[in-house]
Amino acid sequence: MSGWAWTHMGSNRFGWDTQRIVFYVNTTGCTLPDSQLYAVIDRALAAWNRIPSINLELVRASEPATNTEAQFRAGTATQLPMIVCSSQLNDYSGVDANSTLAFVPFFQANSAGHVTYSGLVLNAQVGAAAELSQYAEGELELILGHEIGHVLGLGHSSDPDALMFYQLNKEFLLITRDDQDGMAQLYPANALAELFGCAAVHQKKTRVPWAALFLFLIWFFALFSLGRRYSNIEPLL
Amino acid sequence: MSQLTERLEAPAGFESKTSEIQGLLGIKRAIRLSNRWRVSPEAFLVLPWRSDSDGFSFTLTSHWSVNFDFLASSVFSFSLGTGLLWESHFSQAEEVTVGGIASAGTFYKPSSWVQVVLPTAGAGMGVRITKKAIFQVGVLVPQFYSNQKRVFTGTGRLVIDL
Repeated sequence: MSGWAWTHMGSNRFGWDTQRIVFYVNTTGCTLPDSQLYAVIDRALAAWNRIPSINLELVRASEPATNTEAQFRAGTATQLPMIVCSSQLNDYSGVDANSTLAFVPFFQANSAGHVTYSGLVLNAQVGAAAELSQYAEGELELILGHEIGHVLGLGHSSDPDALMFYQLNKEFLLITRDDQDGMAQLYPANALAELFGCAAVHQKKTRVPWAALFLFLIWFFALFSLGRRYSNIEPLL
Repeated sequence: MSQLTERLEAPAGFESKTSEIQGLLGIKRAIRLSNRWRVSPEAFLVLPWRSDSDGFSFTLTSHWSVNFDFLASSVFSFSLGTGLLWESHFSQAEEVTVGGIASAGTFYKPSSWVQVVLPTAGAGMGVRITKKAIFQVGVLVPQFYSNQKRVFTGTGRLVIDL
């Protein structure tokens, strides 16, 4: 049974200010064929997309990113969030190429709490123990799914079943209730709000159509008051 | 409640990890349409027992639906209907230290109270176990109209017939 162990990267529900997040991928220097890498990324994004309680769509840009890894590292990339490969993990301080397949070097937000700069770096350092091509596809998908969670704003969880658990202890990608609850805090879906034309993107205050909700509840309890217990009414057999 | 999609797609040996069984307790009443047909408003609460929390946060999930019930007999019934799934997520602001691969990291719980409201469709079968209690099994589909967000959730529910 998963717990309420989810956390966030930022202190005040820092998330992207959009309902549709496009991931820009630059495969220059990556040690996997593009098609294989794209397939893994797409599956990881699709897993997060399946959460019904969030108002978010994640897609991979159809064209390769024109921004480079060097631009991303320098903090000047404009195609965000990015997924890039690095053949020199020493360029990122404190990262061990023999134990780190993927990491999120930046998570910056503005004063409104909207994420402005983030992305994912993949280990393409030939000879390193944690280099990209050393991993099976299932593991790649799992780790990318976890790191994408960080890019979206989730922190680590101490729930060992959660995708955002701080250790790699699974063999396939699974988003648990704990992960979903953490995401719902960042990007809550309000399908009623969308139906009534007041859909919200990442906002500090979620827009819930309280009037519509209470009208529904009034109608519900009106029906309830008209009903009777089943067993008092015998069906014809 | 248990998500069926992941369970069906899980690799062999991992099926049990995909399901998180949560109990639902509810109440219902019936409006007679004919000898066999009823309209039943039902309200359920997901019993929120969990462990392993970091910081203080809490999710209360309720489901409110109106179903058409077909009484196959005085014991068995089938139902089909729509409703609303309402998740209320509460969290208290806190800094949380969680273990990392190299070293522990500091993350955050926000101060927030967030509502998620989703239209649902559902179908199921009920077995009357006592005069007042019915055990129902079925499928619940939040955002049933969305190709991307549609998930199938298995439910097993105890409902008190008021």
